[in-house]
Amino acid sequence: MSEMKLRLLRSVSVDSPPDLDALMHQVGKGDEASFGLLYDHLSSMVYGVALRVVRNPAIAEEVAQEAFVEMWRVATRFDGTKGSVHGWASTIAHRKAVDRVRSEQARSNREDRDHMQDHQASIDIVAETIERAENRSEVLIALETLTEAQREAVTLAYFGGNTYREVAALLDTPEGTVKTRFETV
Amino acid sequence: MSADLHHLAAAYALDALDDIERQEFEHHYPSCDICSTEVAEFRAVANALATSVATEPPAGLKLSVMSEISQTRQQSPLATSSTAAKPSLGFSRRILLAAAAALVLLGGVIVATLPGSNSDPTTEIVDSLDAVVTRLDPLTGLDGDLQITWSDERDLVLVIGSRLDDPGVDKAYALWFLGDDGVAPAGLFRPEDGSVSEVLDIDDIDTNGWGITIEPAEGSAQPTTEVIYAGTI
Repeated sequence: MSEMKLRLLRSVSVDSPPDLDALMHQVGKGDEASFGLLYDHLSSMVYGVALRVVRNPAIAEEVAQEAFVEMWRVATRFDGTKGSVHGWASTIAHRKAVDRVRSEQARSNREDRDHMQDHQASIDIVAETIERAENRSEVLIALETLTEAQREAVTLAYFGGNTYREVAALLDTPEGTVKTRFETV
Repeated sequence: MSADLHHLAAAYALDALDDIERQEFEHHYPSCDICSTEVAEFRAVANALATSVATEPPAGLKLSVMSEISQTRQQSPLATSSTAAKPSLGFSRRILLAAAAALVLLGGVIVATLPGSNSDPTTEIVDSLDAVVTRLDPLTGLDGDLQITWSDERDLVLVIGSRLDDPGVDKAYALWFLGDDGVAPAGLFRPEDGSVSEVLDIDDIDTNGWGITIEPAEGSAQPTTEVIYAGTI
Protein backbone atom coordinates (compact mmCIF):
# COMPACT_ATOMS: atom_id res chain seq x y z
CA MET A 1 0.00 0.00 0.00
CA SER A 2 1.35 3.40 -0.89
CA GLU A 3 2.15 5.94 1.79
CA MET A 4 -0.65 8.11 0.48
CA LYS A 5 -3.28 5.42 0.85
CA LEU A 6 -2.13 4.68 4.38
CA ARG A 7 -2.55 8.32 5.28
CA LEU A 8 -5.94 8.47 3.59
CA LEU A 9 -7.15 5.42 5.46
CA ARG A 10 -6.08 6.89 8.77
CA SER A 11 -7.67 10.25 8.10
CA VAL A 12 -10.90 8.76 6.82
CA SER A 13 -11.37 6.64 9.92
CA VAL A 14 -11.02 9.83 11.98
CA ASP A 15 -13.73 11.41 9.82
CA SER A 16 -16.34 8.89 10.99
CA PRO A 17 -17.34 9.55 14.55
CA PRO A 18 -18.65 6.44 16.34
CA ASP A 19 -22.13 7.94 16.80
CA LEU A 20 -22.84 7.48 13.07
CA ASP A 21 -22.61 3.73 13.60
CA ALA A 22 -25.07 4.00 16.49
CA LEU A 23 -27.41 6.08 14.30
CA MET A 24 -27.20 3.48 11.54
CA HIS A 25 -28.18 0.81 14.01
CA GLN A 26 -31.35 2.77 14.82
CA VAL A 27 -32.02 3.52 11.14
CA GLY A 28 -31.74 -0.21 10.41
CA LYS A 29 -34.66 -0.71 12.79
CA GLY A 30 -36.79 1.79 10.89
CA ASP A 31 -36.21 4.86 13.08
CA GLU A 32 -36.98 7.87 10.87
CA ALA A 33 -35.79 10.46 13.41
CA SER A 34 -32.34 8.83 13.44
CA PHE A 35 -32.37 8.93 9.66
CA GLY A 36 -33.00 12.68 9.87
CA LEU A 37 -29.86 13.07 12.00
CA LEU A 38 -27.93 10.89 9.57
CA TYR A 39 -29.14 13.13 6.76
CA ASP A 40 -27.77 16.18 8.58
CA HIS A 41 -24.34 14.54 8.82
CA LEU A 42 -24.17 13.36 5.23
CA SER A 43 -26.24 15.74 3.08
CA SER A 44 -23.41 18.11 2.05
CA MET A 45 -21.22 15.26 0.89
CA VAL A 46 -24.06 13.44 -0.90
CA TYR A 47 -25.37 16.55 -2.65
CA GLY A 48 -21.83 17.74 -3.44
CA VAL A 49 -20.94 14.47 -5.20
CA ALA A 50 -24.19 14.46 -7.13
CA LEU A 51 -23.73 18.07 -8.22
CA ARG A 52 -20.10 17.61 -9.25
CA VAL A 53 -20.90 14.54 -11.36
CA VAL A 54 -24.23 15.52 -12.98
CA ARG A 55 -23.62 19.32 -13.00
CA ASN A 56 -27.27 20.37 -13.11
CA PRO A 57 -28.52 21.47 -9.63
CA ALA A 58 -32.08 20.24 -10.20
CA ILE A 59 -30.89 16.81 -11.37
CA ALA A 60 -28.32 16.72 -8.54
CA GLU A 61 -31.17 17.20 -6.07
CA GLU A 62 -33.04 14.27 -7.60
CA VAL A 63 -29.94 12.10 -7.52
CA ALA A 64 -29.22 13.03 -3.88
CA GLN A 65 -32.79 12.11 -2.98
CA GLU A 66 -32.48 8.77 -4.78
CA ALA A 67 -29.24 8.11 -2.88
CA PHE A 68 -30.82 8.85 0.50
CA VAL A 69 -33.86 6.68 -0.21
CA GLU A 70 -31.50 3.87 -1.24
CA MET A 71 -29.57 4.32 2.02
CA TRP A 72 -32.81 4.07 3.95
CA ARG A 73 -33.79 0.94 2.03
CA VAL A 74 -30.54 -0.95 2.50
CA ALA A 75 -29.62 0.38 5.97
CA THR A 76 -30.88 -2.94 7.37
CA ARG A 77 -27.85 -4.63 5.82
CA PHE A 78 -25.20 -2.09 6.74
CA ASP A 79 -22.17 -3.82 8.23
CA GLY A 80 -19.93 -1.48 10.20
CA THR A 81 -17.05 -3.96 10.13
CA LYS A 82 -16.75 -3.52 6.36
CA GLY A 83 -16.25 0.23 6.34
CA SER A 84 -17.39 3.58 7.69
CA VAL A 85 -20.90 4.98 7.35
CA HIS A 86 -19.44 7.95 5.51
CA GLY A 87 -17.65 5.73 3.00
CA TRP A 88 -20.75 3.59 2.51
CA ALA A 89 -22.86 6.70 1.86
CA SER A 90 -20.36 8.18 -0.58
CA THR A 91 -20.28 4.90 -2.51
CA ILE A 92 -24.09 4.91 -2.84
CA ALA A 93 -24.25 8.61 -3.78
CA HIS A 94 -21.52 8.35 -6.40
CA ARG A 95 -23.01 5.21 -7.93
CA LYS A 96 -26.41 6.90 -8.27
CA ALA A 97 -24.82 9.95 -9.89
CA VAL A 98 -22.79 7.87 -12.33
CA ASP A 99 -25.80 5.75 -13.23
CA ARG A 100 -27.73 8.93 -14.03
CA VAL A 101 -24.94 10.30 -16.23
CA ARG A 102 -24.58 7.01 -18.10
CA SER A 103 -28.31 6.60 -18.75
CA GLU A 104 -28.47 10.16 -20.09
CA GLN A 105 -25.39 9.55 -22.22
CA ALA A 106 -26.97 6.44 -23.63
CA ARG A 107 -29.91 8.57 -24.73
CA SER A 108 -28.04 11.45 -26.24
CA ASN A 109 -24.35 11.27 -26.95
CA ARG A 110 -23.01 14.71 -26.40
CA GLU A 111 -20.58 16.42 -28.75
CA ASP A 112 -16.99 15.44 -28.13
CA ARG A 113 -15.89 19.03 -27.70
CA ASP A 114 -18.45 19.83 -25.02
CA HIS A 115 -17.39 16.60 -23.40
CA MET A 116 -13.78 17.66 -23.27
CA GLN A 117 -14.62 21.06 -21.78
CA ASP A 118 -16.70 19.44 -19.04
CA HIS A 119 -13.82 17.18 -18.24
CA GLN A 120 -11.28 19.95 -18.15
CA ALA A 121 -13.43 21.63 -15.50
CA SER A 122 -13.55 18.49 -13.40
CA ILE A 123 -9.81 17.95 -13.66
CA ASP A 124 -9.26 21.24 -11.86
CA ILE A 125 -11.69 20.59 -9.03
CA VAL A 126 -9.35 18.78 -6.66
CA ALA A 127 -6.64 21.38 -7.15
CA GLU A 128 -9.14 24.17 -6.46
CA THR A 129 -10.44 22.46 -3.37
CA ILE A 130 -6.95 22.03 -2.02
CA GLU A 131 -6.19 25.71 -2.56
CA ARG A 132 -9.46 26.87 -1.00
CA ALA A 133 -9.31 24.64 2.03
CA GLU A 134 -8.86 26.59 5.24
CA ASN A 135 -8.51 23.52 7.32
CA ARG A 136 -5.96 21.40 5.50
CA SER A 137 -6.92 17.94 6.57
CA GLU A 138 -4.70 14.96 5.96
CA VAL A 139 -7.00 13.89 3.16
CA LEU A 140 -6.38 17.04 1.20
CA ILE A 141 -2.65 16.88 1.79
CA ALA A 142 -2.71 13.31 0.56
CA LEU A 143 -4.65 14.27 -2.58
CA GLU A 144 -2.09 16.96 -3.20
CA THR A 145 0.61 14.32 -3.50
CA LEU A 146 -0.96 12.89 -6.65
CA THR A 147 1.02 13.53 -9.81
CA GLU A 148 -0.71 15.61 -12.45
CA ALA A 149 -1.31 12.54 -14.62
CA GLN A 150 -2.78 10.55 -11.74
CA ARG A 151 -5.01 13.39 -10.65
CA GLU A 152 -6.26 13.81 -14.19
CA ALA A 153 -7.11 10.12 -14.63
CA VAL A 154 -8.76 9.81 -11.23
CA THR A 155 -10.84 12.97 -11.54
CA LEU A 156 -11.94 12.19 -15.09
CA ALA A 157 -13.23 8.89 -13.79
CA TYR A 158 -14.64 9.96 -10.45
CA PHE A 159 -16.09 13.39 -11.21
CA GLY A 160 -16.62 12.88 -14.93
CA GLY A 161 -18.51 9.63 -14.40
CA ASN A 162 -16.40 8.00 -17.12
CA THR A 163 -15.36 4.38 -17.44
CA TYR A 164 -11.61 3.80 -17.56
CA ARG A 165 -11.97 3.11 -21.28
CA GLU A 166 -13.54 6.51 -21.76
CA VAL A 167 -10.79 8.08 -19.68
CA ALA A 168 -8.21 6.35 -21.89
CA ALA A 169 -9.92 7.70 -25.02
CA LEU A 170 -10.14 11.23 -23.59
CA LEU A 171 -6.48 11.22 -22.63
CA ASP A 172 -5.44 9.39 -25.79
CA THR A 173 -3.65 6.90 -23.54
CA PRO A 174 -3.67 3.07 -23.54
CA GLU A 175 -6.28 1.54 -21.22
CA GLY A 176 -3.62 -0.35 -19.26
CA THR A 177 -1.82 2.89 -18.47
CA VAL A 178 -5.01 4.44 -17.11
CA LYS A 179 -5.63 1.47 -14.84
CA THR A 180 -2.06 1.75 -13.54
CA ARG A 181 -2.52 5.45 -12.85
CA PHE A 182 -5.54 4.64 -10.69
CA GLU A 183 -3.64 1.94 -8.88
CA THR A 184 -0.62 3.99 -7.95
CA VAL A 185 -2.80 6.53 -6.17
CA MET B 1 -8.68 -12.41 -18.30
CA SER B 2 -7.44 -13.12 -14.79
CA ALA B 3 -4.84 -10.36 -15.01
CA ASP B 4 -7.57 -7.97 -16.11
CA LEU B 5 -9.89 -8.81 -13.24
CA HIS B 6 -7.21 -8.27 -10.64
CA HIS B 7 -6.47 -4.89 -12.20
CA LEU B 8 -10.01 -3.61 -11.91
CA ALA B 9 -10.17 -2.89 -8.17
CA ALA B 10 -9.30 0.79 -8.50
CA ALA B 11 -11.58 1.36 -11.46
CA TYR B 12 -14.38 -0.46 -9.60
CA ALA B 13 -14.03 1.69 -6.49
CA LEU B 14 -14.13 4.82 -8.67
CA ASP B 15 -17.26 3.48 -10.48
CA ALA B 16 -15.25 3.48 -13.70
CA LEU B 17 -16.35 0.05 -14.97
CA ASP B 18 -19.13 -0.57 -17.44
CA ASP B 19 -22.14 -2.61 -16.26
CA ILE B 20 -20.78 -5.96 -17.37
CA GLU B 21 -17.34 -5.48 -15.87
CA ARG B 22 -18.88 -4.16 -12.67
CA GLN B 23 -20.99 -7.28 -12.21
CA GLU B 24 -18.15 -9.55 -13.17
CA PHE B 25 -15.89 -7.86 -10.63
CA GLU B 26 -18.56 -7.87 -7.92
CA HIS B 27 -18.83 -11.59 -8.41
CA HIS B 28 -15.10 -12.04 -8.20
CA TYR B 29 -13.67 -9.75 -5.53
CA PRO B 30 -15.32 -10.98 -2.31
CA SER B 31 -13.44 -14.25 -2.70
CA CYS B 32 -10.16 -12.63 -3.76
CA ASP B 33 -7.98 -11.35 -0.93
CA ILE B 34 -5.96 -8.98 -3.07
CA CYS B 35 -8.97 -7.39 -4.70
CA SER B 36 -11.03 -6.97 -1.52
CA THR B 37 -8.12 -5.25 0.19
CA GLU B 38 -7.61 -3.03 -2.83
CA VAL B 39 -11.31 -2.16 -3.06
CA ALA B 40 -11.35 -1.09 0.59
CA GLU B 41 -8.30 1.09 0.03
CA PHE B 42 -9.55 2.75 -3.13
CA ARG B 43 -12.96 3.33 -1.58
CA ALA B 44 -11.17 5.39 1.04
CA VAL B 45 -9.64 7.45 -1.77
CA ALA B 46 -13.07 7.83 -3.39
CA ASN B 47 -14.54 8.87 -0.04
CA ALA B 48 -11.85 11.53 0.30
CA LEU B 49 -12.71 12.85 -3.17
CA ALA B 50 -16.40 12.92 -2.27
CA THR B 51 -15.65 14.83 0.92
CA SER B 52 -13.58 17.36 -1.01
CA VAL B 53 -16.60 18.58 -3.00
CA ALA B 54 -19.17 18.80 -0.16
CA THR B 55 -21.81 21.42 -0.97
CA GLU B 56 -24.78 22.56 1.12
CA PRO B 57 -27.95 21.12 -0.51
CA PRO B 58 -31.12 23.18 -1.10
CA ALA B 59 -33.17 23.43 2.09
CA GLY B 60 -36.18 21.64 0.61
CA LEU B 61 -34.27 18.42 -0.03
CA LYS B 62 -34.52 17.14 3.53
CA LEU B 63 -38.28 17.44 3.56
CA SER B 64 -38.63 15.52 0.26
CA VAL B 65 -36.25 12.82 1.47
CA MET B 66 -37.99 12.39 4.82
CA SER B 67 -41.37 12.29 3.15
CA GLU B 68 -40.29 9.65 0.64
CA ILE B 69 -38.58 7.37 3.16
CA SER B 70 -41.67 7.40 5.36
CA GLN B 71 -43.40 5.66 2.45
CA THR B 72 -40.54 3.33 1.54
CA ARG B 73 -40.22 -0.18 2.87
CA GLN B 74 -36.78 -1.18 4.10
CA GLN B 75 -35.04 -4.21 2.68
CA SER B 76 -35.06 -7.45 4.62
CA PRO B 77 -31.93 -7.61 6.79
CA LEU B 78 -31.13 -11.05 5.43
CA ALA B 79 -29.01 -10.99 2.30
CA THR B 80 -30.20 -13.33 -0.45
CA SER B 81 -26.71 -14.44 -1.36
CA SER B 82 -24.52 -14.44 1.69
CA THR B 83 -20.95 -13.33 1.39
CA ALA B 84 -19.24 -14.99 4.30
CA ALA B 85 -17.03 -12.83 6.46
CA LYS B 86 -13.48 -13.15 5.33
CA PRO B 87 -10.81 -14.23 7.78
CA SER B 88 -8.25 -11.49 8.32
CA LEU B 89 -4.94 -12.01 6.63
CA GLY B 90 -1.97 -13.21 8.60
CA PHE B 91 1.18 -11.16 8.67
CA SER B 92 3.24 -13.30 6.31
CA ARG B 93 0.39 -13.38 3.85
CA ARG B 94 0.21 -9.60 3.92
CA ILE B 95 3.86 -9.46 2.92
CA LEU B 96 3.20 -11.87 0.07
CA LEU B 97 0.31 -9.72 -1.09
CA ALA B 98 2.37 -6.57 -0.88
CA ALA B 99 5.08 -8.24 -2.93
CA ALA B 100 2.53 -9.41 -5.49
CA ALA B 101 1.01 -5.94 -5.69
CA ALA B 102 4.46 -4.44 -6.18
CA LEU B 103 5.10 -6.87 -9.03
CA VAL B 104 1.90 -5.81 -10.71
CA LEU B 105 2.82 -2.15 -10.41
CA LEU B 106 6.30 -2.71 -11.75
CA GLY B 107 5.57 -4.66 -14.84
CA GLY B 108 1.93 -5.50 -15.22
CA VAL B 109 2.86 -9.09 -14.35
CA ILE B 110 -0.02 -11.51 -13.99
CA VAL B 111 -0.63 -12.26 -10.34
CA ALA B 112 -0.64 -16.01 -9.90
CA THR B 113 -3.17 -17.40 -7.48
CA LEU B 114 -1.51 -17.47 -4.10
CA PRO B 115 -1.61 -20.73 -2.16
CA GLY B 116 -4.59 -20.90 0.16
CA SER B 117 -6.72 -18.33 -1.61
CA ASN B 118 -10.42 -19.13 -1.69
CA SER B 119 -11.96 -20.44 -4.84
CA ASP B 120 -15.55 -20.23 -6.04
CA PRO B 121 -16.88 -21.31 -9.43
CA THR B 122 -16.74 -17.76 -10.80
CA THR B 123 -13.14 -17.23 -9.79
CA GLU B 124 -12.39 -20.69 -11.12
CA ILE B 125 -13.73 -19.72 -14.51
CA VAL B 126 -12.27 -16.26 -14.86
CA ASP B 127 -8.92 -17.43 -13.52
CA SER B 128 -8.75 -20.48 -15.76
CA LEU B 129 -6.18 -20.08 -18.49
CA ASP B 130 -8.54 -21.21 -21.22
CA ALA B 131 -11.38 -18.80 -20.34
CA VAL B 132 -13.01 -17.47 -23.52
CA VAL B 133 -15.11 -14.33 -23.20
CA THR B 134 -17.87 -13.69 -25.75
CA ARG B 135 -20.11 -10.67 -25.74
CA LEU B 136 -23.48 -11.47 -27.27
CA ASP B 137 -25.20 -9.03 -29.60
CA PRO B 138 -28.94 -8.44 -29.44
CA LEU B 139 -30.55 -9.40 -32.73
CA THR B 140 -33.95 -7.83 -32.32
CA GLY B 141 -33.44 -4.25 -31.20
CA LEU B 142 -33.12 -5.14 -27.50
CA ASP B 143 -30.57 -3.11 -25.57
CA GLY B 144 -29.52 -5.56 -22.85
CA ASP B 145 -25.93 -6.73 -22.39
CA LEU B 146 -24.95 -10.36 -22.16
CA GLN B 147 -21.52 -11.86 -21.80
CA ILE B 148 -20.55 -15.50 -21.67
CA THR B 149 -17.25 -16.61 -20.15
CA TRP B 150 -16.50 -20.22 -21.01
CA SER B 151 -13.93 -22.57 -19.55
CA ASP B 152 -13.75 -25.67 -21.73
CA GLU B 153 -11.35 -27.37 -19.34
CA ARG B 154 -13.74 -26.99 -16.38
CA ASP B 155 -16.99 -27.33 -18.36
CA LEU B 156 -18.43 -24.20 -16.78
CA VAL B 157 -19.82 -20.98 -18.20
CA LEU B 158 -20.38 -17.70 -16.38
CA VAL B 159 -23.36 -15.77 -17.71
CA ILE B 160 -23.37 -12.06 -16.92
CA GLY B 161 -26.05 -9.72 -18.13
CA SER B 162 -27.77 -6.44 -17.43
CA ARG B 163 -30.82 -4.50 -18.64
CA LEU B 164 -32.49 -7.76 -19.71
CA ASP B 165 -36.22 -7.96 -20.27
CA ASP B 166 -38.24 -10.15 -17.95
CA PRO B 167 -38.75 -13.48 -19.75
CA GLY B 168 -42.33 -13.75 -18.45
CA VAL B 169 -44.14 -16.08 -16.07
CA ASP B 170 -42.89 -19.70 -16.20
CA LYS B 171 -40.28 -18.74 -18.80
CA ALA B 172 -36.52 -18.57 -18.68
CA TYR B 173 -33.62 -17.50 -20.83
CA ALA B 174 -32.03 -20.50 -22.53
CA LEU B 175 -28.38 -20.59 -23.57
CA TRP B 176 -27.53 -22.70 -26.65
CA PHE B 177 -24.31 -24.06 -28.06
CA LEU B 178 -23.93 -23.22 -31.73
CA GLY B 179 -21.84 -26.12 -33.02
CA ASP B 180 -20.98 -27.59 -36.43
CA ASP B 181 -23.65 -30.25 -35.88
CA GLY B 182 -26.38 -27.79 -34.96
CA VAL B 183 -27.73 -26.42 -31.73
CA ALA B 184 -27.59 -28.00 -28.27
CA PRO B 185 -28.95 -26.78 -24.91
CA ALA B 186 -26.36 -25.33 -22.52
CA GLY B 187 -28.55 -24.25 -19.62
CA LEU B 188 -31.25 -21.92 -18.33
CA PHE B 189 -31.18 -18.72 -16.31
CA ARG B 190 -33.60 -16.07 -15.08
CA PRO B 191 -32.55 -12.44 -14.66
CA GLU B 192 -33.53 -10.65 -11.43
CA ASP B 193 -34.37 -6.97 -11.89
CA GLY B 194 -32.90 -7.31 -15.38
CA SER B 195 -29.53 -8.60 -14.17
CA VAL B 196 -27.99 -12.02 -14.11
CA SER B 197 -24.69 -13.37 -12.85
CA GLU B 198 -24.78 -17.12 -12.82
CA VAL B 199 -22.49 -20.09 -13.30
CA LEU B 200 -23.86 -22.99 -15.37
CA ASP B 201 -22.43 -26.51 -15.53
CA ILE B 202 -22.25 -27.48 -19.19
CA ASP B 203 -21.52 -30.59 -21.22
CA ASP B 204 -18.09 -31.15 -22.64
CA ILE B 205 -18.71 -29.92 -26.15
CA ASP B 206 -17.05 -27.95 -28.92
CA THR B 207 -18.91 -24.80 -29.75
CA ASN B 208 -18.42 -21.98 -32.22
CA GLY B 209 -20.77 -19.59 -30.50
CA TRP B 210 -23.69 -18.96 -28.24
CA GLY B 211 -27.34 -18.16 -28.78
CA ILE B 212 -30.13 -17.12 -26.43
CA THR B 213 -33.87 -17.77 -26.71
CA ILE B 214 -36.79 -17.54 -24.31
CA GLU B 215 -38.07 -21.01 -23.38
CA PRO B 216 -40.45 -22.58 -20.86
CA ALA B 217 -38.89 -22.60 -17.36
CA GLU B 218 -38.23 -26.36 -17.58
CA GLY B 219 -36.22 -25.94 -20.80
CA SER B 220 -36.55 -27.30 -24.34
CA ALA B 221 -34.58 -29.80 -26.37
CA GLN B 222 -34.46 -27.40 -29.31
CA PRO B 223 -35.12 -23.65 -29.52
CA THR B 224 -38.85 -22.97 -29.83
CA THR B 225 -38.61 -19.19 -30.24
CA GLU B 226 -36.44 -16.79 -32.19
CA VAL B 227 -32.85 -16.24 -31.16
CA ILE B 228 -32.66 -12.85 -29.43
CA TYR B 229 -28.94 -12.69 -28.60
CA ALA B 230 -26.02 -14.39 -30.31
CA GLY B 231 -22.25 -14.27 -30.47
CA THR B 232 -19.50 -16.26 -32.17
CA ILE B 233 -16.33 -17.29 -30.42
